[in-house]
Amino acid sequence: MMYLAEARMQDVVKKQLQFKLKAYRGVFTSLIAVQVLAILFSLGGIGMSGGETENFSYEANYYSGNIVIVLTMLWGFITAVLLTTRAYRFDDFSFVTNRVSSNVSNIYFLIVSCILAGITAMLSSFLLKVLVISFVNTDAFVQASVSFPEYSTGMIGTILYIILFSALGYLVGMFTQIHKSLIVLLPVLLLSTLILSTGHPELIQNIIGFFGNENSFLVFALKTIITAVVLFGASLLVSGRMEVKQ
Amino acid sequence: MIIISLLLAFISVIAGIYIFNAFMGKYHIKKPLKWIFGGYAIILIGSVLIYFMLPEDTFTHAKTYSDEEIMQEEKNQEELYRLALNGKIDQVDDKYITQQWEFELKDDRLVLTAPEPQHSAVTVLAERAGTDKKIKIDYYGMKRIVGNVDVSSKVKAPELEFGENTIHIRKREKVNVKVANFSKEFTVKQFSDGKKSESRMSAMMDQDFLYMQIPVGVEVTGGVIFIDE
Repeated sequence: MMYLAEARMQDVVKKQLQFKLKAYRGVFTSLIAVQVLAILFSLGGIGMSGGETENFSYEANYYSGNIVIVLTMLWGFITAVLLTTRAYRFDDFSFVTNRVSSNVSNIYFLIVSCILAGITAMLSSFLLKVLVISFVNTDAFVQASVSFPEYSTGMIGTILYIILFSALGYLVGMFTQIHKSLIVLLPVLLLSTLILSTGHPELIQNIIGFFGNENSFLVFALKTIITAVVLFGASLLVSGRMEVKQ
Repeated sequence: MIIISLLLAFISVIAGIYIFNAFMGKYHIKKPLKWIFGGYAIILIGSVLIYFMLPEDTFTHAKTYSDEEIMQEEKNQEELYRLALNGKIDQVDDKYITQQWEFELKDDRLVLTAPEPQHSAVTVLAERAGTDKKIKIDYYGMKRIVGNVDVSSKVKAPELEFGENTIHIRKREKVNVKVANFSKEFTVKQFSDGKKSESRMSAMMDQDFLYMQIPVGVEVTGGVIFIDE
């Protein structure tokens, strides 16, 4: 078949990405909602210790942006699942498209969103500190010293974690689109694994430890990027099994 | 517990996203979104600027301790009390003496009074020393470490009221200390060199004591533990 203008893959992807960045604004507003919610949760502190004797009592409260980061990771997962749903996928048919370009633009969109999410999650820790200093009555504020390189590495690490979760979410979402019964089966499988592993938590600990216990940033980056590539690649393969406009 | 927390977090994020999207959809809110993004970005960048413009004394510069240092300090303080009780006060580090008094008796009697129960005031240890009617009193204040931070300066020495032959230890107000500790985010801690040294321990030996040197021959009335008798 002949066309007047041959649509190049990268142009289609670029156009779709631009469209998605404008059209899926709900993704970013929900990110803000989740982070604001997480900051509010964090105001209560992530831990405390206390004690009392006849003449002296003490209370030490610990604050950090951990809750914001964890909830942002969950946001990344859920956002990726939502992108695979029918309502979002059909948007791509406004363009000259195929399943690969649609998926690739989705993946780029997720990566851009995750970068923004990681930056805002880390910046929100400053907002949390300013709020605690302004509204929490204490005798002393103690700050663990963090150098700029340390902070930057932490920010990139956060972004990589969010990308990892969104890659996982994208694959899970694709599976659920293949067969609707997986919407029920996957959570059941996940929950039963979690419950069954409570006595033998090695599997989950090993998975968490594979990323979480890695102290070398370069090795961690390699692990997350390779895992994300594998997960996104698997999503592309799974997506290929879908019917047109399924 | 971790599983339940994760599930709750998961459910709250899904509910948050769903309610938020439903709200935005129901009221067809589109234009203000630009303002929401902009506003959030300004708040975040503003908070970074405010944070770096905070006065230097906002954060405490008190000495901070690692787990190992806290445990060592607790051992030192237990040892200190044991040495004092066994009459080896000369082996105790002078750094624990935070206040000293000297008092001259009119005759050979000393009455020590303190609020009941006396432990709400302070323990009084004493030894016999000299014959010149002068009483020397040292206050040994223990370290209080809360969430890594030395807050010992918050605990003042007891107030003593001196009469002709009397010393009254005034009841101390209870000291309440609150410390807010900003920890590193786990993604920062994971790649930090000193990740193992961050501690969450607190230590507070409540064994402050007054150590009195009372002249030989002075008759003492009141709650004093003589270490050499």
